[in-house]
Amino acid sequence: MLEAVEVSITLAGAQVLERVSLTLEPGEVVVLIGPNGAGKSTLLACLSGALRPGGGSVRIDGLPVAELSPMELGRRRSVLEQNPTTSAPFIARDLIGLGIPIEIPPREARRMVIAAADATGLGALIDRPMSRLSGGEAHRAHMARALAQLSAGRALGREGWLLLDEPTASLDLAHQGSVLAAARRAAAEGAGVLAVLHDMTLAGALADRVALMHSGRIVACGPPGEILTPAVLAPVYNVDISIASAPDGARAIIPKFNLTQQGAGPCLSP
Amino acid sequence: MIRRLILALTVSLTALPVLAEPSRIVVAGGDLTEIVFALGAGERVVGVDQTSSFPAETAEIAQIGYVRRLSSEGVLSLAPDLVIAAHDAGPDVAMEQLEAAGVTIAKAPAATTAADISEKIRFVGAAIGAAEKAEDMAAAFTEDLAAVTAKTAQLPNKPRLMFILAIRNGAPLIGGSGTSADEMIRLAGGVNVAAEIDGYKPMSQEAILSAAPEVIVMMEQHATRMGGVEEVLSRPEIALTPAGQNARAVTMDGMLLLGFGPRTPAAVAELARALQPEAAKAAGL
Amino acid sequence: MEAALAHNAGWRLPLLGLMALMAGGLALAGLALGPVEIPPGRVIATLMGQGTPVETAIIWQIRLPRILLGVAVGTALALSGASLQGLLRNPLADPGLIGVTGGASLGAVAVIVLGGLVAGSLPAWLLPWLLPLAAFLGAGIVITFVFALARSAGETSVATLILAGVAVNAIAGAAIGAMVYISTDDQLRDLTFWTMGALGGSGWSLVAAASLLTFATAPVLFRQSRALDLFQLGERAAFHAGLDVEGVKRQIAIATALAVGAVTAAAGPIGFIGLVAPHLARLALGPRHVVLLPASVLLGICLVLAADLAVRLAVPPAEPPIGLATSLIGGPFFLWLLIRTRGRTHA
Repeated sequence: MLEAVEVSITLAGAQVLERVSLTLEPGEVVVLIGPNGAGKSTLLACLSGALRPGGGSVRIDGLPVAELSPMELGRRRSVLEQNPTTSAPFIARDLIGLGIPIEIPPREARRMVIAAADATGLGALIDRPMSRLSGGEAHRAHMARALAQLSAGRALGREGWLLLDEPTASLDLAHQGSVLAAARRAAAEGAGVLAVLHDMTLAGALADRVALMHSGRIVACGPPGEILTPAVLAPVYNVDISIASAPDGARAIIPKFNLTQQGAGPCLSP
Repeated sequence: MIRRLILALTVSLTALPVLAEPSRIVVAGGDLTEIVFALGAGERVVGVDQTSSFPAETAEIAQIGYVRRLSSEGVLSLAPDLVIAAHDAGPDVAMEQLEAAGVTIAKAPAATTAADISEKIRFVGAAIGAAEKAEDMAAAFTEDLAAVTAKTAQLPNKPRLMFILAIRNGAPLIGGSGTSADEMIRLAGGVNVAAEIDGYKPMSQEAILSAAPEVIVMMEQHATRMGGVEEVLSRPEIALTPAGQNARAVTMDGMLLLGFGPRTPAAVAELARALQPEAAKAAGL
Repeated sequence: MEAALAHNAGWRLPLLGLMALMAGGLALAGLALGPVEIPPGRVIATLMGQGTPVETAIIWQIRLPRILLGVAVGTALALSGASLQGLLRNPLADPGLIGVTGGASLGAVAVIVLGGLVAGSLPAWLLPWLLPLAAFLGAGIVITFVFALARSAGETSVATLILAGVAVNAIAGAAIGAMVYISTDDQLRDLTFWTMGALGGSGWSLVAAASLLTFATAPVLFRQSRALDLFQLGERAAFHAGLDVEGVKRQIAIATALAVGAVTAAAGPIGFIGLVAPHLARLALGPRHVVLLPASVLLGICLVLAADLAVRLAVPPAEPPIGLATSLIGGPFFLWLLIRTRGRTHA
């Protein structure tokens, strides 16, 4: 279990999280949604151990995160950062393998890298340098890195938690699909997945549970069908929302922007 | 018999290596080179350092570089049997390495006054196996120096001199007391206006103005490097001194002026002549 | 920057082997070549203990310590340069950037100018060690200070580290300026020559001490190759991947200060090796530190030994300072590298 209990944190004088509690079970996908500045990334950073909360506690597999070494944390959870970059022109294959601990035998590590690349649709690009990948391809390579690290941790007998901070932000539709599918598959293999998403349609497609954050608190948490409703979302986002359902049960969350009000004029004046 | 024994003892006890006739000599120190040549051993010199520029034959001899950064293997490549080194030659490691390779090193004593130069001459003479000749030369040197300084002491005026070694970071580096420039100024019948500073130090513009030198003394090489002596005289802090206003400056070859070599009496005379031509002539300089 | 030659893993080992051969060849050349001509046969005989006293002195007392010091200098500077560039994610980082060389220089210059004041009260055996010790301490103090300054709330900020390094360099430069101001003419020459570096000015004891420190710290840096790879993702991501980011920074800082301090103390500040060697290695073998670090070391050794051979053979029997050679070769070469790679990058 990965759990945050009554976590509070103050950054630069502002209360960013206020007594937030969230638990993540193995095999489930929880999606964090909420407006900008709600505290989603901060909560994810607390869960990953990168931030030490001022109050409350974060436990991973029952152990306090604050007491685990970075190495041990790395085996128990892997993280895809919000804007992953690298300054060095690694070969994609090398980058994907970076998070695999040295305890994993090289042959095994290579297998994990290929599996992770395949899972994110990068199989054909695995021998390219990162500098020659497009932004979306590079992002998926980092996703593959997180997946490879996750499977290495599991191979070393750890439970495995996957934390994704806006994993689909710079991807086109097909690649959004492949990344979410990879996350889903990780959950199916027993990992607990927490993802921060902005796109509520994607959240609905991916999540077992959705947690809605607002001003440093989780204001609603439950199955997508209960949270992704106009009644819950509209007051938090301050936007009118309607829901459309496809015949297969997929739901689209459609914001109703009132754009003309904002004095929209022609983009190009003659 | 006893005399011979004492002689043998002194010979064996003296710190100086006794080599009858070293045939390949490397000299590190311009003054020492001058002495070696003056002792007639110039054709045995196979290497000299940067400061050895006199006599002109030194230009034909292999250059071993800066006296405090000698390359031991470079010196060894000249296959010397004797290295005559200035008191500050180095680095120490290079000296040790030379000794390890079986080269005799004769480190000359430092000369702080012109009178010490005769000691240097004797030292070099002993090192190259020309002790008797050196004894004569040292005696002649002492005589010459006494003769010249006796004449300069009679000069009517005591011009106020300032020696500029170089201009460093925009400030002139002035020769204070304890420098060979100070000694030369004194010997030539002048007064060093910067005697209250110690060694070569930069001096502020106002201190130079209040020191009010009548003549600027420089090394030729440095004056040229700074764009000629006129350039130096037109510097603001110097232009307003008596020296600047009367455009009075003397330049001399650096090794001649400051080297404390055997030419020192001649250098004193030359400086005195440049300072007070008529009076010097009258005094027989 | 686009890595050129050998992203193909198959090239890595042959290229590393080639570099090792080059370094070995240059070391042999350093043993066999010099102002004094000793035929190879005699060199071997001398190494076996059958040389004439002069040959023995040249090979054992002059050339061998020199080569060993060259290897240590190349290793320390290139390895520290590559590690710091990786750690700071800044291809321009080298031990000079964060002030290590400046600190060492200040220590040495202080001894050259002020050493005479304390020399009388010190035991004689300590005197030859005074300058290297001061240089070593200078490097250590500076890197401790810079890292302490950059550290707040348990994290070391790379930006502060570089800024603190720049500030410390400025302070060290000013203090050296003050030393220059109060120096006598002889001391000025001494310190000017010292700041241009030399491999030939150190005897066995100092060479052995510097080499020992270098080769003792080198494994610490070599062990960081995976950590340095991870640093290329940023510190947060490196932590996510299971890296003790702060611990790695500390280890690299200490190892760098020890190694660079030691070789600077023995050979003076030698420029450009820490910058050029890792750059070349990266160009030839790509960004992975597991090959980048050894390749940097081999290239650093090659550069130092080549520069030393050049100054030894340029104008014998005199010998220009080695820093002159590395800067004269390294500077233009680095410019060429910059211009060449600028044409290729889109950033």
